[in-house]
Formats: sequence, C-alpha cells, structure tokens
Amino acid sequence: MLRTFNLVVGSSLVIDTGVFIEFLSGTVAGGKISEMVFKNPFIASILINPLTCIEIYYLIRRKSSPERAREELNKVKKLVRIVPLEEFIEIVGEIKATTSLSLTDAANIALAEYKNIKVLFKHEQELDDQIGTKSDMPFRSRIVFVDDFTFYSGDRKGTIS
Amino acid sequence: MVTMATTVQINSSTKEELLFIKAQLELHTGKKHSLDDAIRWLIEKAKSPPLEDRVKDAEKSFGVLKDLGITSEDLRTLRRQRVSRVADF
Repeated sequence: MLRTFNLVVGSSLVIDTGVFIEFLSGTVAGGKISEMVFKNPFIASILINPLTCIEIYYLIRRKSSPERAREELNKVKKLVRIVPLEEFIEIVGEIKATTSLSLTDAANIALAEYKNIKVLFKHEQELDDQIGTKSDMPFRSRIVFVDDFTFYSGDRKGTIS
Repeated sequence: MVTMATTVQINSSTKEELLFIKAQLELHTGKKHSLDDAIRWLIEKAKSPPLEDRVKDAEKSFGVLKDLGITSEDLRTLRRQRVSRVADF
C-alpha cells in the first residue's frame, strides 16, 4: 500500500489544511497520514503555502488562545517547508480565474504545479464538485486524495490520476 | 525555456552513496530509479527538516488538537463564512 502511495505521490508533496487537521486532531485517518507522510522515509520534503499556516492558526484560535495557536503552529512549521507565495502568484491567479476554488486550494494546486509535484487533499464536497464538473480543470493531474489510500484498498489503489 | 545539461564528475564514495539511495528509492516505490532521481531526492531532503527530527516532531504533534475538537467541517464552515462575508461586502 505504501509503495503505491509513494509511486503515485512522489518524494516531495504539498499538503492541504484538511489533511493537516486530520493529523493534528489525532483521528484514525490522521494516524495513517502520519505513517504515510510524516514518518515515511521516502518523503524528502513536505511543502505548504503560507495560507495553510493562516488557516491552521485561525482554526485553533477560534477555539483557543493566541498563545495556544502560536504554539501549535510552531509545531507544524517544524514538519514542513513553507514556500513563499510570491514565487508562484501567477499560477494561483490563473487557477482562481478559471475555477471557484478557495484561495488556499488554488494556492496549493499552484504550488504543486510550480514545483512539478503532487498535492494531497481530503475529499471535500466543494473540491469534488469542481473536479467532477470540470474535466478541463487546470492542473487536475496534480491532485491526489489521501482518502483513496487511507480508507480504501484493492480496486481503488492507484486509480488517481 | 532553455534547458542546460551539465556533466559532473563524482568520486567513487559519492557514487556508492548515490547507488545506495537509488536502491532505497526502488525499494520504496517498486520501480526503477536513476542516479538523477537519487540526486534530486538528496537536494530536496537537504532543503527540508531532517527525517529523524521530522519523525520525532510528528510523534509530538499527532493529536495535539484532539481536546479542541476541530474537524474538517470546521474548516469548510470557516471557508464558507469567508466567501459569504465577501459576498455581503
């Protein structure tokens, strides 16, 4: 299973806020994300864009103190490499102009395109709707859903493209 | 776009290390890799937190938000709120 994941995703990847939240929340899926991504020796680098940091901060901040939000965000920063937005602004703009994805989703896909790697998302209605209705969605081939590996096996392995 | 090819001379111990990494990559993916793949992997690894630290930090970070009960639905809700605020404006 891990070999299939490695083969599909590659040794560097971008991860979305939703994937991070599963991990930080300690869910069963988060445990699998921990093994497949953070503890996987094949993964050389895990990239995020700054908007993901902001989302993680404000999600915590809505339910806790600024100190707690800062503390947990610092833990997140130790696990990843944050790529400055200015390096790939035009690609984000292009995706935003042609889809109704959230700015963070667009920035994640743009970062994957910029680095020529994959981006790991969780299945979400909004994203599924966009992908389902737009076969010509820009940079669709960059997207991989973690759920396809954590919750399913057998037939669905390696069906992502 | 201009692509430049560079040929680099490497000594035997470096080549040995690259061959070891190449073999590791093949073990992890089940497919053939090149020495270029091994070099690219090393470059990416050098720019990121060391694996040993990442594993330790992942253990410390796993489940740290459990007590807050944050879910994926919270993220979706907050993203929708942002859209609706912009729409209100």
